[in-house]
Amino acid sequence: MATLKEKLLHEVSPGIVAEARSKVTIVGVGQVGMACAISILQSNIADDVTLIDVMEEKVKGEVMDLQHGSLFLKTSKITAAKDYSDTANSRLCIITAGVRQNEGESRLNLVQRNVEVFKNIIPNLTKYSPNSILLVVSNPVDILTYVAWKLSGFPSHRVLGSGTNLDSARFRFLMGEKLKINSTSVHGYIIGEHGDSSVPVWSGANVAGVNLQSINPEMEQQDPDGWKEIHKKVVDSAYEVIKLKGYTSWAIGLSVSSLTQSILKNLRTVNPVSTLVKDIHGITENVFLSLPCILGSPGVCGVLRQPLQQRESEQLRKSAATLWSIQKDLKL
Amino acid sequence: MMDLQHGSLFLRTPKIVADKDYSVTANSKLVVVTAGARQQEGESRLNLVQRNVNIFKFIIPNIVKYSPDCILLVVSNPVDILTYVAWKLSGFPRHRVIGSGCNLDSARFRYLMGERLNLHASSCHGWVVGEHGDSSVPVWSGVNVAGVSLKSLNPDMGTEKDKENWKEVHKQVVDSAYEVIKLKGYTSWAIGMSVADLAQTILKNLRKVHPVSTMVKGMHHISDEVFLSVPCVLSNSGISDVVNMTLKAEEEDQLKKSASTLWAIQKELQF
Repeated sequence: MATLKEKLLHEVSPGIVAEARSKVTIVGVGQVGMACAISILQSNIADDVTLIDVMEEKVKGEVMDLQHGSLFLKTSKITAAKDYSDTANSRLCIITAGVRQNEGESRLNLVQRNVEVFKNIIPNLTKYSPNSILLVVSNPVDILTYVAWKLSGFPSHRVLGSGTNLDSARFRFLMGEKLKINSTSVHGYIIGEHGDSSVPVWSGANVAGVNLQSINPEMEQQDPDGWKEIHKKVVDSAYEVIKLKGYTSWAIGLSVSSLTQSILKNLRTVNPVSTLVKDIHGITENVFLSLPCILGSPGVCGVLRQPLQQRESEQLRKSAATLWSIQKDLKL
Repeated sequence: MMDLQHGSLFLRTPKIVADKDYSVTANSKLVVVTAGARQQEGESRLNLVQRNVNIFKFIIPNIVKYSPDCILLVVSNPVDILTYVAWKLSGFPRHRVIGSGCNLDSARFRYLMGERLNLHASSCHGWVVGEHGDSSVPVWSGVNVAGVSLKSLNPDMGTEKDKENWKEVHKQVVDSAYEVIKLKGYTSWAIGMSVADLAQTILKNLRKVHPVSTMVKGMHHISDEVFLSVPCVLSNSGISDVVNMTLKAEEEDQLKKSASTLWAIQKELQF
């Protein structure tokens, strides 16, 4: 007795299972993980999005809600992983899992709590997707990217942290507001630690190639227009938003989706992400900090040789030392 | 707002504003109302009514004051009743007050249909109309893929006799919200995407047909002033046309029954 499906459809390529070629796994379905998920789904860059978390019912509910929107999406497979085997053959694994920054808590305080969480996650991810790229979002991101690198045994170009990609986006948004220009037309990089000691590279800030510092030399010193204030606002951003709404989600989700697109589509765009910076700018420790990197299918394809002022590279080295002093005491 | 603004680099919406004061909403082309008390686990939509009417008594006049020419899109539940409430409180002509209605139910139906047939939801066509809730009506006669009527291939479709139990698809649609609420506490993504879909059609004057909640007095032998979802042509002036569906007697009966149920509640409301 033929089923309706058999009556309706004449199958032409039976038994051929279409393999996912751009599978993304997202670990953690909290606010950040879900914001990443919805952004990635709506930018049509993956053909399989798999979500995994220790909270089984929550993953099921979130995935069901996303699947109900399938009509409006172009991602054919959205899965709630029952265990890590469902994450197999991912091209990119995004880790957002971890304990959340509490009001007033600095990122560095989260460390050992999140290391224990990663000891569960990373070996499982690498077991099922040994050729994938790991993108760490959980804070403190620079240290946790180092932890993910160590626990995975992956070559360093396949492990990156979302780092200051978001800080730079916030920086460009705030500068755009000040100049009344769209943020995509205002260029500026924040590098180094994603956190209190991030470094704004004022020497590179420009609009249409016009260097802002060259037309406003007091920018960093006296700073009558309050430009330095912009960097402070970026550093305080997360705390501000957390104070107001309890957590941040949208901006980080959009920023991660932008990185995902560059990797999956091998765009080779330049983004400030957290990468292994040993032997760059005079750094001697095995630490991860954000520098402008070329992102593509292999992961981090290259690092831009960004000329820095003495003060800027000193700050980087100082961050590296601070991070290393925490990292060396971690039980991995 | 701040969180959204921080994502500006990745977006193409230059102005994102948040405030408590309605003056910032002035000159809106479209106002989407999602405010209101949330459905609890196991709670039916109709139970929320009076709580949400009181909230609307504050919201709607404020919106109208600052955007007297806007289109109102109501999402808060029970959506059909609250769209009626918004219509009454705003004094707007009926084509400018729309309820998100069964746009989401139909999207869920098409997704589930797609799962069964292993096809993308956008190639599966099916309309769920009437009340956005327990008594929504799946129009089985219209369910098709590439114009091929599924009911013509499976005449038992939608009945108890159906060996493939396609009726279960509609049941899953009705239970969807309760299911998701039980698992994650609320629904958000699918309804958000469905509202964005409606907003796009309206703002870009696409004249696409969507099952949304509109005033159906005079259609399908309904004599009360109730709002139910029927296929509507949406444009930048709101609802420009309604598609006359050819329904089976039982389907039309169900619509009339929903209309009576809704009217019984509506006539008791304190405005």
